[in-house]
Amino acid sequence: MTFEEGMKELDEIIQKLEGGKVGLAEGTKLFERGNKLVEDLYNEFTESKGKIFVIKENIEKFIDKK
Amino acid sequence: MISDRAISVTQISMYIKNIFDSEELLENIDVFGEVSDFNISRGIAYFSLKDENALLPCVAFDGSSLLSVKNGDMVIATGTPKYYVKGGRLSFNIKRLTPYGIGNLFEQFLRLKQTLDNEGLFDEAHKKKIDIKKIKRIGVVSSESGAVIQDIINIVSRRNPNVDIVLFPVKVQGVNAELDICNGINFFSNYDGVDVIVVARGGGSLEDLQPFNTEIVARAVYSSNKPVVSAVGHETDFTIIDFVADLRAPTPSAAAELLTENIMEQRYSLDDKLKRLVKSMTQLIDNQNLKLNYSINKIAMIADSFINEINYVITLKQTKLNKLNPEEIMKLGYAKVNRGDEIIVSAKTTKVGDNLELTFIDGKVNVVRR
Repeated sequence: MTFEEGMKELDEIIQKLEGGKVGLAEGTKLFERGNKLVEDLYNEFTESKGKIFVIKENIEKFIDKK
Repeated sequence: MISDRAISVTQISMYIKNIFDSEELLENIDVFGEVSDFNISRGIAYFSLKDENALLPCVAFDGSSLLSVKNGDMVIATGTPKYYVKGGRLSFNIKRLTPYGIGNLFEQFLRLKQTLDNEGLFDEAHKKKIDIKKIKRIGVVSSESGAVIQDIINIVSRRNPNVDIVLFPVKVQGVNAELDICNGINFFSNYDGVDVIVVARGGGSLEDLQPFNTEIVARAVYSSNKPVVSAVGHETDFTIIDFVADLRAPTPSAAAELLTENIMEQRYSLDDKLKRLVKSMTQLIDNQNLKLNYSINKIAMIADSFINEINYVITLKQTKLNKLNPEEIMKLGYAKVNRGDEIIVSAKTTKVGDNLELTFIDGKVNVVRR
């Protein structure tokens, strides 16, 4: 799941909950799913995945950011 | 140990200075070249005269007469080279500058720009669209040392820490720098590892930026399979690569910003969604509680009326029961009749002389039947 897909699904869940037409059981399920999505999406910010490479002799080599 | 042959720095410097001072051939000579790195400080003009292979540092003590001089001007400079002992520097002391038409490099620039423009290398239709949402890796063609690559790394990491940077280190000025730069562009063009190419260099003189004004670099950019962003010099510097590139960034830092989404904005959006999620769920629970409270009240009301009804029936029955209480009857003047333990309910069961006991509401009386 990409970040954008996650945000989209989260939006849909919130809209359903805000619509007020779901019962407690379904609402709880939606909330749990939404909560999991939020958690995963926050990880996108906290885990910095970007790396720095340099091309040496036409081969990509990992280097430290500093 | 100081060798016997060693002389001091002052001695050698004075010796060099004397060579220049005594060389009559160097006095008041005319030198033809291109002005670069021109600046005036406290009325003194400092600049260099250049041609393709050499550079001559110059100074003009009467800088006020040179206010109209610009970098790139072709001039004939009249003066005398002097060796300055204190700074260990040779400087061409200028008495007079005579303009010699427009600078060669600038002329070349204009000519090449026109040629490439006519050929269609700058056509908007050829430019590739850049979708920054899809950029996961940025290929950078730039110098490995210096502030430029560090600025790009810092800005990209801050705005979107998930984007990779791949650097192809090149010379960004000097002899054959343009070949290096072409190698970098061509490498990334056929390299699946990057989504976009940034060709970056910090600010500099027209000479410094010359590699980015070459035809070979322009053509490498034009034929690249990946979108190319030019990020050369300062905002005011325009180079040929800027016209060919799919996107021109005013500076290397600006390129880093243009190519990365600021995910901190997304972060705020996510914060907002989390708030809405919790609020909508709380609302849902509140609504359910409201419904539950309504049901509880209804049940309580039904139970209340049921209990009231039962109480009424009980009271009614108690009243009836009370009326049957013997004491209540005795209050009306009736008495209970006993013969020993036997309760007498009929006159026929008594005989004359029977000892009978009469029980009233307030006491007992023994009597004999006559």
